[in-house]
Amino acid sequence: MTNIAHLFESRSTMESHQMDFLAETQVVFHCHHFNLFFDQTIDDALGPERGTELRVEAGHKSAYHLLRGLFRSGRYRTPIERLDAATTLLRAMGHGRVDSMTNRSGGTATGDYLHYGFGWQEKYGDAVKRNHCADAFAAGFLSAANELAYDLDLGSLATRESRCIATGERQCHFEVEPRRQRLLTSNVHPSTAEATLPASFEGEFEDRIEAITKGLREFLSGVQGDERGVIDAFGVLVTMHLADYYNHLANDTLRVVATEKPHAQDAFRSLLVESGQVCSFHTFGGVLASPEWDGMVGAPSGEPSEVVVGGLALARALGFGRWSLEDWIPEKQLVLGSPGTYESLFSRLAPMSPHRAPSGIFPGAALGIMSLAHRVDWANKQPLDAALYRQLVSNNPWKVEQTHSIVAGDDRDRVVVSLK
Amino acid sequence: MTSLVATPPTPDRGCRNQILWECGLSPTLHAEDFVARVLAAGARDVGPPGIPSLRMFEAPEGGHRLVFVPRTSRLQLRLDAMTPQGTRVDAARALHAWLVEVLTRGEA
Repeated sequence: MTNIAHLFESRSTMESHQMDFLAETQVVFHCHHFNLFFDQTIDDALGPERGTELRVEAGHKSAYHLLRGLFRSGRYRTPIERLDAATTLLRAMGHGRVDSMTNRSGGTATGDYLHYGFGWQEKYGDAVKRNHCADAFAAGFLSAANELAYDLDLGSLATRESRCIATGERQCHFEVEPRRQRLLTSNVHPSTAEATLPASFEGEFEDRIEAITKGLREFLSGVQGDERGVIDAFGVLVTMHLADYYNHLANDTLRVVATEKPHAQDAFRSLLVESGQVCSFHTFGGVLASPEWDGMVGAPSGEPSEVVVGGLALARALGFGRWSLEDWIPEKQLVLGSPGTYESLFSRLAPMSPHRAPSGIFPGAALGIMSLAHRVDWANKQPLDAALYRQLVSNNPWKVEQTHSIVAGDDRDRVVVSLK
Repeated sequence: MTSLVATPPTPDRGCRNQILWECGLSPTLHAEDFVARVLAAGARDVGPPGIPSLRMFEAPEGGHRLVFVPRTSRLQLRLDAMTPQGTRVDAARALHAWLVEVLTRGEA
């Protein structure tokens, strides 16, 4: 039985840039609202069949990097030890529980409480019917885990989810089969990140942001999935996720869209930005409203600066990057800077390609922070529900623009939120 | 007496359907008493580590949690993440009933 503490021994933080790594693979925390929205963005762009294919591939490539780093320690040697370590890690990261019945030629697996399928049920229940399986990340993870367990090359196995609780089944089922695929990977290694990222810098309210970040990080260091593989922190359904899952997916999808549906590129980019709004509303908003926040920081009183400071501290603690406040004119303008985010770092390191996905999380979350700060009635405990989200997005008085990017050679990423 | 000890649960702010419930505690109930009573009733202290200003307890049944901020006496009833959607209101009421019983136990 794998010891979770051993699995997390390989966690590290690049404090200067507020980026986190597990087994030399970049990780971030994201909630089920963001995860479902991000995956839906891919399916909207490509259709469910092609979307699922790319989502599985992204899970496969990113998980392979993670698990290869984990097994490099030499602690896990046999296929049984490696598969147990992999599935225990998946559970510890809040992605649910899988039982793999495989050999080097493949086999089957079952899944319970898997994050995407369960998250879909939690968010939509019976209100929205889904016809295709949701747990592409788990499928890709299973391919990578089995390849590494049996010392097979990346791309030797392919996994298909054949049944999913998101479509009404009681349990998720997977089929793992031999297949020869060529998977191109590009991953962020901590040493490369250190060598690549520009120097970090401070912004306004730095002392307050840093103090809150420290407390949040201390709390998050003890967060892990329970025996079912579920993380319920701040009352939010959270995962520790692989940054490169999102990055591979955004870039691979943009490549396909640019080639096959060039007219849809702007819509896809807009949805990536909206994913950042989804994150800030549900994750940042949910945390700010939580008793954990109340205990650590104090409940938001309605003073907008508390929300701006809190949002930036959350972005740092969740591993998005060292976001700083460069300028803020209440109600009118918000300027955020960062010496890189988990998205821009990947794009900067990715081989030159005309189809590098733009940042979605940084501009989207900046827009979201402005909305949370000025358009939510914190003092009267306004419910943070779907109706409020729709209202904030549809009647948004602000626009956002990314004016600087480390991908383009600038010394920072900068986003500017201003009145339309 | 009962309604003064812990007001009936109402939906708390959050992004999940009927998982989080707010429950007001009587201003005369001291935080130390609250903690002592729920622990004596078999609730498990589940941290969280890193936030001394927050107490969290797991109720003896159902995996539901009481999230308590001693400084403000804010109490959140946090149902187990896997509580089926159709049963959440009843689960919150049952947890509240257990809590009221615990907080009034031994009183006339």
